[in-house]
Amino acid sequence: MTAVAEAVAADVIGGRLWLYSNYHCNLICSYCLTESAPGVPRREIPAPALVARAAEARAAGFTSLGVTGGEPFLLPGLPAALAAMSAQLPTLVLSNGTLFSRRLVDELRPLAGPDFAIQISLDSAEPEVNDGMRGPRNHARVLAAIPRLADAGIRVRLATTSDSLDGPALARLCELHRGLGVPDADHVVRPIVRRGRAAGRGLGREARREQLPAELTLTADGAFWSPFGPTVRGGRLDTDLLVTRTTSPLSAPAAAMIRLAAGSGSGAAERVQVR
Amino acid sequence: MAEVELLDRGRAPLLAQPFYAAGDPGPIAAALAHVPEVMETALPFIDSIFGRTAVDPRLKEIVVLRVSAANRCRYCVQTHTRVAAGMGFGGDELRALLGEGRPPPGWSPLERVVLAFAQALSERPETAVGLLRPHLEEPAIVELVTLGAATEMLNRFATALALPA
Repeated sequence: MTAVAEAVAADVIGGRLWLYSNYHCNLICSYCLTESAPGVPRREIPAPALVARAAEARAAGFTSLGVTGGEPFLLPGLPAALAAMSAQLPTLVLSNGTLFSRRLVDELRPLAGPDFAIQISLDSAEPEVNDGMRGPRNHARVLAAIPRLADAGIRVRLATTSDSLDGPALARLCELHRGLGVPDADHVVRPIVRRGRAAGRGLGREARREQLPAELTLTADGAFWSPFGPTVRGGRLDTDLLVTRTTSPLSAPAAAMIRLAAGSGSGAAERVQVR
Repeated sequence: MAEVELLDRGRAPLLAQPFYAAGDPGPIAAALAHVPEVMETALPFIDSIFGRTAVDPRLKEIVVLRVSAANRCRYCVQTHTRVAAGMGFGGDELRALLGEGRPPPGWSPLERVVLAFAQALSERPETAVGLLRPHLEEPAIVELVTLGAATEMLNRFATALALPA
């Protein structure tokens, strides 16, 4: 058993290896952790490198992969890379759900199956509420994309990020996603974390390292403690949750991560449900 | 102003944070923190070779300050002039270490040899050990060479990054 596999089995670190494919995005969401936007500098893990990290992750003992950004589907060659990655480990890709043209969905069609899912963000059943945070026509685009992906056999999960979702609003949202064929088990509700653009706008709740699950996260800038680590504020990368600059070989950040996580205790502090 | 951001405690990466526990770790650490996996091995190395060892601290400071002056490292010269003064080196001794005067008459033969060794290490390193060999055992020679070489590295590091003294 590898050191990573042992650490995962002992719940010292999470089994999912996260990869920030890129930081740029076609949206400018109000609470974005990474200040992603169309015009931000291109910082990417190119598709071949994503595939290489996936193979390393499997060999190291990770149990699944997560791809996030930015908007991952802006990365050239992503569908083919995802196919290769999900052949290594079950893969979840986070998306804003606005780019799923028929052509892109056709490219994703070979990924239909249990080892691949797309998690799309939708923050409210009400278009005006959702679009106020995520941009004009976002709600309509997401609602168009989900059936298109489902028809192609792609498993779709839904992620809601909100600090103001009361019971009735959550009930309306759940009614909506059930109607789209997304079961409750595939709907994640999570708080806004006060980092990145959310911090600049005073949104969300603070999350210290002890409250963030230890999930190794690779970016073009290095390896971080969690997908909430490589945040950007005022155009500057936060480094307080940086683990190592080295991302390959994967053994380097993984060993450092295990050492840090083993020293920080496990499960003692209230954890933020983030993914 | 330094050429790179000197990371403060709030921006210190996880592996770097222990080095901030006692307060400001200084500009070398605050720069190295950008690459925490290097920092966590480099700083203990630096501490071990610049800290207390079997070799007389006075001899070590002669090497550090003379090498730094020969390399015209502003940061290292300023910081180690203060260190040397704190250790009791007098004005004429400091001038000798900075290359601005001759060693004072009270210096021992060994101190004079170490000063010459430090100068040679910067200018003709292949000749440097030969100066020490009649006076020191091999462990001390290796340590002084390591110290001088580490000083050379830090001289380049501090000068290239324009670290503030």
